[in-house]
Amino acid sequence: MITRGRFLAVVFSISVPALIVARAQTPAPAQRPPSLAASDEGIPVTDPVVVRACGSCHTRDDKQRMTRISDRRATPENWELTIRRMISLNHVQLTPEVARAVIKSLSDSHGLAPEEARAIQFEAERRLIDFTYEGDKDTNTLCSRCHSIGRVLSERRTKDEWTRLIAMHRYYYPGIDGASGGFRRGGPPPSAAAAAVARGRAGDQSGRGGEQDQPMDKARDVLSRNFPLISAEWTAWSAAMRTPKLAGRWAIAGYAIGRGPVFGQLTIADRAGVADGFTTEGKFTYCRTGETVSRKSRAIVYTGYQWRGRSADSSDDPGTWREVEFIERNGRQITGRWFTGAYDETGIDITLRRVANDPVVSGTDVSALRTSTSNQRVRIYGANFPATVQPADVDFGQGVKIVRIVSTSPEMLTVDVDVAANARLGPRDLSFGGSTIPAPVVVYTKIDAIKVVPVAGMARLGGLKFPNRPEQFEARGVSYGADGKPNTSDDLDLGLVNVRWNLEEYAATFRDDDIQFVGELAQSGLFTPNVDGPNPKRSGNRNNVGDVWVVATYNATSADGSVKPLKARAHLLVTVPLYMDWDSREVGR
Amino acid sequence: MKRAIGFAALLVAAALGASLIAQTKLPAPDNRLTGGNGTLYIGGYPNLIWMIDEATEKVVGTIHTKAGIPRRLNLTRDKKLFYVIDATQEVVEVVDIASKTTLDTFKLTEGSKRVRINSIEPDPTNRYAILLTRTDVKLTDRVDIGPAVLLQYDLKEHKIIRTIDWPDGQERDQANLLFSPDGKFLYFLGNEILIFETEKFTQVDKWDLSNLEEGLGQVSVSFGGFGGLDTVNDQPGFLTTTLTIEDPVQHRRMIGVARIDLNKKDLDFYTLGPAGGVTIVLAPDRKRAYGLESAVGRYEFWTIDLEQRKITSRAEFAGRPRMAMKTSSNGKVLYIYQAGNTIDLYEAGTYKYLRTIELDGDVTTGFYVVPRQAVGATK
Repeated sequence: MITRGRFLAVVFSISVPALIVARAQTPAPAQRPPSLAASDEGIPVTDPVVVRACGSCHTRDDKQRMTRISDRRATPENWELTIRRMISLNHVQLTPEVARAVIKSLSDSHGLAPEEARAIQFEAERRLIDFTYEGDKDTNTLCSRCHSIGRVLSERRTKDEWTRLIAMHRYYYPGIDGASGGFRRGGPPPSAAAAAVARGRAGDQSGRGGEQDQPMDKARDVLSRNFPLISAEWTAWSAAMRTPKLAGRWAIAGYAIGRGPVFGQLTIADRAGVADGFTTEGKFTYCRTGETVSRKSRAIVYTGYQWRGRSADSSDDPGTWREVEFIERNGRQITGRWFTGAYDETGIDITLRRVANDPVVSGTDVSALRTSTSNQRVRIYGANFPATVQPADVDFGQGVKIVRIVSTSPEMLTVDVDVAANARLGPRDLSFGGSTIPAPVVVYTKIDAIKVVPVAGMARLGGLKFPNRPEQFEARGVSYGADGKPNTSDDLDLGLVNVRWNLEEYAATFRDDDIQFVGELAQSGLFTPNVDGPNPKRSGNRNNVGDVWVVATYNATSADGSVKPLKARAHLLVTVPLYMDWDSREVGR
Repeated sequence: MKRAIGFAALLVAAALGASLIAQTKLPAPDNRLTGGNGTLYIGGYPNLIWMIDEATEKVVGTIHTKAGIPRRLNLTRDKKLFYVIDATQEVVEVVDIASKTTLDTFKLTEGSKRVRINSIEPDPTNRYAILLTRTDVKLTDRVDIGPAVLLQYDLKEHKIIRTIDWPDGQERDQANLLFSPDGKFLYFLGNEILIFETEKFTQVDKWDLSNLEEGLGQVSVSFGGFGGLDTVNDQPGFLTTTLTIEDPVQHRRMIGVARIDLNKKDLDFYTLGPAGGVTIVLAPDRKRAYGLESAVGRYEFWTIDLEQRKITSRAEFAGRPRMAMKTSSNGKVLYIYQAGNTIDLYEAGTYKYLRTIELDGDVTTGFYVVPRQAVGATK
């Protein structure tokens, strides 16, 4: 299942529409029937801002539990989606300041524990990955027909609340019940199905005569069982949660697909007047090109560990990059993704390590060292490097010898290394000045194969009415390791290699001609899709959609000096723009 | 610039020449194969029903719907009216085909009570209609989803005559409804066909198709494909459709043809081959049916001889990932349509691609092929 949708516009600092003043929505305030009371396990809502903003519809009982709200926990992104839905469909009017305050408050008081959020961090990080909820594949299929399953797993609710969520879907989307994979099967009544089962007949593909539960009932039961309102993790975290102490210097280590590693430093400062607010200022460099980027950002931390920021406007950074990061409980490491693009498709995987007084090693510009080589140049990035460094101070482990310190600066060491012929193949940790980073390089003998990542890419047509979504591919070298056999546990990922790129037809159907229409693949591995809209040159005036192979060719030099081309490929789906922005604007507002 | 003027002069000269030739010669007879002399009706975006002349394959008229984007067309038995359900499933529009005008619209939604109309079946006299509905109520902080409800609705008085009880109290979300030709019975079409009398709408009979014969195994009968049930080519009181079985011993799935006599509660069936994603449409002569198989990467036409009870030919063709099929009024052309704004024409006898009809907007409903002489006739 492809999990990534359209831009989630969850930039809490500026994105909530400028609508004015909380007041009641269209229906009259409820006379709350007993069935509408928050459950006994409901979490009290004590923030007066939330009570004022939401209280005209969500009434509060004598234990400060608000209907619906108290029976739910969610990530900041999901709370924002709810606020957006309240504004767009229920006509709630909130100032941006109030909306932001409500999202912050609910994310803190009715959020997810770190252990609960870590597994679905890809959702907030807007990653395009292949993810299936293994807890129940039927539920996975049912929900992911329309949106990411990660969006569902970002929620915790009581059983009644899961039921009401399903009801909301059925109210706004009349076709969702549809018999073909929808919430309900239709067809004959359960009694007939039961009779068929009694006669020993399994259900057919339409679901007739099979299980008694409707698909939506099964999903409700699965979700309420596996994602309940109250969990041990949340009970523990909600007691331990506090404002993280993040001010100070941090070393940046990152990786941009197709562009390679980035390293740099940034400073985090407390942001005056903003609860759990921070600003950053820093600089990083793309190792392969030497391009240096300066940037500032501002952020808010939700639920004590969820960093949500965006770049601050500056002449070289128009404020389009967003930051979604996970603060580790030890307060010394932050991981996540910085991203931009109409579909959040361009990004850098980021790790921040706190810098104190000791040296911190972030990584190296090369990711693989070949055996039987001399004077391989390696640049080591980090912070607090001393002015004087001896070769013996730098340790790559067995078989890799530092023969020369070429240069030093506080943020980079340049060294030359020799790799012994008999150096054991495999990853090497790098230690310097008491700081160790695991496996920045691997030792190998030769490139046995290459692979293309992502193995399943997706691009969206655009450029006329809608923005496009390009897809960046990269080729990585592979060594088969000590056993010389492919696809075994000792295979080594050698990192980015330079290749020739081309497209090939993915002949899933006869007379497939997609390659003529889908777009162009540059020698950088960047695929740029064709324009959106019907194309009169295609049969049926079809859009320029299609699927193709993305093929990389690497010329490997054999032992006898001959050049042997190595090939690898990935599948690329080129599809239509995201016409309906389900993620950020419910029902096409 | 000179080149442009010269080219324009050439074009004018060529046009004049062509005009002179046209005046001096009789028009060549149009020998191309066409679908007949009927009319295609198909709903589309935005808010219209196209009327396409089969002979010329041109849009000869449009009916503009007032209720919004048409999502479902229901052709009355006399082929004079369409009952159109809009995309929100809240509004029904009654359209007179001859005058291309809207005769009536109605909806049951009131305020925060939203009534979705999933399907409609007017009685043969158009006095009332049976509506399959579901009522959803928006409350202050939640919505309540009601059960599927079957209503008898007075089309003139615009009021609900009665709520029809579900058999055994078991609601159904989707139902294909069909009146008997004389209007005395209402059929619920599914693996279990329920038969209601139409005075008080009590169930008078039940017919379980899933249990046809011992040893036959699991049986599934489909009614209506994209766009719903189309009985234009069927003899009144009969339905010809596909049937799928899974035999209880080898567990092989096979597809076949079922001809159902609703009046006699009789079903004549036979299997044709392994089950795939095949839908069939009946030819106007009722002696043949055409199958459309659509699997990933493989699209096939089938011809089924209903008298010989066998497939007489199959052939792959360049289909579409999402498509549906209709037969032309003379049975000689197959229309492939559904997603997009085009209708592809294939010769039924050879499966040869003929032409494509291009529309000004995307198709949003199923379509009907109405023979010229059929309009107004109830057969």
